[in-house]
Amino acid sequence: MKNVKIQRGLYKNLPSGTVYNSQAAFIIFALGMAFKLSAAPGVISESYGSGTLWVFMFMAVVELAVTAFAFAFARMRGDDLMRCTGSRLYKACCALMSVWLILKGTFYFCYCVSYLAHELFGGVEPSLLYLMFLFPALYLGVKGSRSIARTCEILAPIFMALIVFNLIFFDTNNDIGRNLPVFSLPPSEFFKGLPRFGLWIGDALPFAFLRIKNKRLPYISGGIAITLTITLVTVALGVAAYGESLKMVSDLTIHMAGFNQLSMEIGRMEWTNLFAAVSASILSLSFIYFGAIAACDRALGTRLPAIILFPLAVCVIVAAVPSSQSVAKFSTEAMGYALSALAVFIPSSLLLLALRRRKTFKGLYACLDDEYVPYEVPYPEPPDSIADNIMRGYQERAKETFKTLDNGSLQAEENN
Amino acid sequence: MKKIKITSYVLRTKWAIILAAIILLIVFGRTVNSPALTKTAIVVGIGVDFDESKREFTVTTQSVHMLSSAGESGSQRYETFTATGRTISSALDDISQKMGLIVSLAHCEVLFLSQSALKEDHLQIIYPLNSMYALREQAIIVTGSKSPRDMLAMRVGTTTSSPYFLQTAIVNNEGTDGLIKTSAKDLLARSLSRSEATAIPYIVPVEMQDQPIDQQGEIKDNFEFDLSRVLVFDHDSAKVLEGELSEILSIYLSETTYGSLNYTSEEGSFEFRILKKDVKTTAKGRKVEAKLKLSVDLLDVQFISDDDILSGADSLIKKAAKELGAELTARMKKLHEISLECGIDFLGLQAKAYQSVGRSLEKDCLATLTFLPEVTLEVKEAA
Repeated sequence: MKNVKIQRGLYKNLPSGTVYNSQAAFIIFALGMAFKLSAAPGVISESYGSGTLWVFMFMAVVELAVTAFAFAFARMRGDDLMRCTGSRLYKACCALMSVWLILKGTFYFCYCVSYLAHELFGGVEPSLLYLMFLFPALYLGVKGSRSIARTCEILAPIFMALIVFNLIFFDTNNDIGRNLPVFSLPPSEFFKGLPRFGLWIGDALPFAFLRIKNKRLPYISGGIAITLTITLVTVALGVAAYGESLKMVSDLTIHMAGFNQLSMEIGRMEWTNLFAAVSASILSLSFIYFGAIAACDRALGTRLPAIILFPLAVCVIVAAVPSSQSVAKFSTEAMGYALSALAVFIPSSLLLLALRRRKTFKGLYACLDDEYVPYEVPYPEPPDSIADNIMRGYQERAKETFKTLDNGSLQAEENN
Repeated sequence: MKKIKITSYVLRTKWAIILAAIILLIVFGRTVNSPALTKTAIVVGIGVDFDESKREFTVTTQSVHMLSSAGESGSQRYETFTATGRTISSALDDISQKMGLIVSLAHCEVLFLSQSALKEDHLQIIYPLNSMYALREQAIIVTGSKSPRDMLAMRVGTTTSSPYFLQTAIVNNEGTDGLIKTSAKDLLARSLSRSEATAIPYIVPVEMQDQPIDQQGEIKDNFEFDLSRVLVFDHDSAKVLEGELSEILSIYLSETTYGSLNYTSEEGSFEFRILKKDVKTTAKGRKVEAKLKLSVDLLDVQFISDDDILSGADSLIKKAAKELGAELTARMKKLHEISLECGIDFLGLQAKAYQSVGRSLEKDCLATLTFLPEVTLEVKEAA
């Protein structure tokens, strides 16, 4: 395949497992939009009321730290280093991460289906929603990072434009002071309840398994800053508009689009953010799925268990649990604390392990370069010259000068 | 022969996957019961009444049916149905049976609530309508002197359907002569706040003195809606405000304000058109300050001693504007007095004080709060 050079050393086709920093930024935006801006404000508002914005701010700080760990690990080629030096601890961490991401992906899946089924598709079979989310998410997840990155690169700017467009024209009776006071609950209760929302932390962890190729501008830090800003502004406006009644909002982005002042002229505008929310959810689910597969690959040397487990978990839940809402609720109870702990533990452990290894294997670390492929091909295949058409003409000539034996091999005919 | 890996082969053939998905969705689409538009009743207005003795809801809907045949322009017919149930949903299901159609409130812009229904939990009333029947959060909440059923069934002169009339009248004239717009979202936001009170239009229907006529003669039983009153309420009590008090309250609470203000003194009668309003309510501890700045344009002057043509630059107009500002401030103070008398915090003072004091602010502390309103008018020129 010819790799077309676009400009300034950038190529159209990157090696597998490598994404441009711009693509990473768009993935971060899609993740933020799909998970943090949809039902999370409503769910958090049920417990924190007008303090929802402050919960988001604390969560943003934790998320920022976790994302920084993941990117620091990716930037220092932590994955390559740990794999080439064969760390058992790393394998254990990856196994844990794979399970955690499968759990997270399953909860997110139910969460996305839950708010869309509850909010938008009245009268439509929930199984149709499962199909709508499951197939594209599985396809993209198995295909890998390049497909997800490219799809995000195309769609995420559209999502961003739609959200900004709806924020610019947002027009409703609101009071920004509703975000006060900071502590709607006593500080001890406030902080005690925070870790319950661990489902929404650590979405960017699959970046640990990717190599980031830089373009000129600081896209990743810009992407994170824009995502957090839009998230916090939207939540602040949501609380300002709804106050304590934010708890009845199933999807804030979609509801916010309903207050677009242009809707008086051109009709309801919810569809704009609905399109963005559905597409971003699929992309984000596929990215989580990709992370689970990559982690499983590092832990067990095969992708298959994670490829099967995630859809299986979803199917089992569809069959066994009567409502996806109950699964989404379960993830914000005791399970939320476990998810929070893992979201912080896994990236910090990965980074610490990699830093330690770097110190121990200085020479080896210096050898890691762009072309390094740390994993072995499980079933190596010799090049097939005939199938590749490299031996064109030789075969015919060989038949003239060689005789074929019973076992299929050729033997040179003796010259008389 | 090159070994074919089935998984990689399938992954590479994305079109095969897309085709499979399309086929699946087409087949699935035929087997799934999705609501068709022709099976759906387009409800334009809904009313909810509550019988406290029987603990039952009476729900009334007005839906529109488009009647047209080939080559003819369409006409519409409004149909009003009523049903009773232990829950709002069961009553709506009964209505659905009566109509033979699925009830959808996606196009409903007006929700009539009786005063007895307003005493119930507002979230429990709005939430099922919003989440299960797609009622928009922007739907306007109104109440009136008659039951929601009677109000919905009334024939209004200009547009026939009372919900249509209210929708356009309230949106186009918000803030005029006490006309206030409170959406479902605003009702919940205010009633779930520390103040637990809000204000909605209180409609009084009056039979038209001069009934409209067509070629067959007079069309009887047409009504006019008087929208100049406001009902202020919390879960325990309610009070109707009218006249100048409802006017200043609607200016204070409305998102946008249209209309005009009149000031009459010994020097003449002055009419100012409101161009813009700026309401800033701030709390410092238990002291709540409300500053209303109104930009107005001189609209009309009568009964003045001179035969001059006056403009906003004249001292007489400036003086009238200043005096009107003082009068409006006095009306705001009067509103506060009424709020204290009835114990209804419709000015939202507790919600504001809560933002400053924090969670230590005790509930029902309206009497302990100080309210300092100030209304100023600035005379400008309109384009």
